[in-house]
Amino acid sequence: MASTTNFGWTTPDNTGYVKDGALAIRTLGSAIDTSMAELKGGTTGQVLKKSSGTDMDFEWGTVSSTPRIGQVVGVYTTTNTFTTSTSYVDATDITATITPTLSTSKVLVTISFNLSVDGNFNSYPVGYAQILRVSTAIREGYMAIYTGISTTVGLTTDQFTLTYLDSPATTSATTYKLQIKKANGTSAQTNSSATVILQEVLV
Amino acid sequence: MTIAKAIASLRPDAEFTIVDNDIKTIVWHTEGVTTPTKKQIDDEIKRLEAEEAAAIQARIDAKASAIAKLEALGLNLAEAQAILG
Repeated sequence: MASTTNFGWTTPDNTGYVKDGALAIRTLGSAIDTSMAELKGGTTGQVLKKSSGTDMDFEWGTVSSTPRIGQVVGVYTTTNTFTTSTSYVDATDITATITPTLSTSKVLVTISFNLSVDGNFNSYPVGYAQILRVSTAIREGYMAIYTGISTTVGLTTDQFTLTYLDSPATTSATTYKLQIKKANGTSAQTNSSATVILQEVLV
Repeated sequence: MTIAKAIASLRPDAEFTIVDNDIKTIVWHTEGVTTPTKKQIDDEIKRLEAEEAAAIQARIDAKASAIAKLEALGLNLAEAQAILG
């Protein structure tokens, strides 16, 4: 009796007489049935996984829920925004948009920028910055300068990174942006350069 | 010295935002404020630069004066500078 190349299923020889043909067919069918047994079953949404390195050793299971990074959006800008406003204003061009693949996805928002504040003696300049998702504030930070005994402060700059793991719960295009304002002092401004990085975390 | 700082100096009670130091981008957050003319801004930049230079020179002079007075009290230069930082 011959056998198939890959699975070794028993088949009649090419030149064999037709004898006990039904048995030969049943033997072949049974061998195929046995080989394919582990492909049977499973439920909606499950995937077939290898159980071991052995041929045809499978099992049905769920997709790993280990969080992983999906798409990444990055924006770099050298646009500087200067404001004397005590209410938040957009920091021009410090913005990026991402369209989450899944509604369960999280978005890791990282905005790095230079924030400058300006003011005179005893004005204690303070500048604020916040991240917005569309029109909702999700993260705020500030810098304050103690003037000490200086007669003048002048422009003082520091590098900031605001980070937030957001859950936008949408698959629509979602825009994140930076806003700034001054408290004390004469002004607040973004300075030199800024980067916005949005990373989709698939969960 | 920037255009933005000059405008802030000319309109200290008004709130505004300006992008990339470009006067065309100015947005006033306070109602009824007029944008200064180019000449007013240029003149203010010159005045602020002179004021800044004078302030720097005044600090240098004050430090030199302080060192001289400390030396007169018997401190050497290194000791006087150690105090002044």
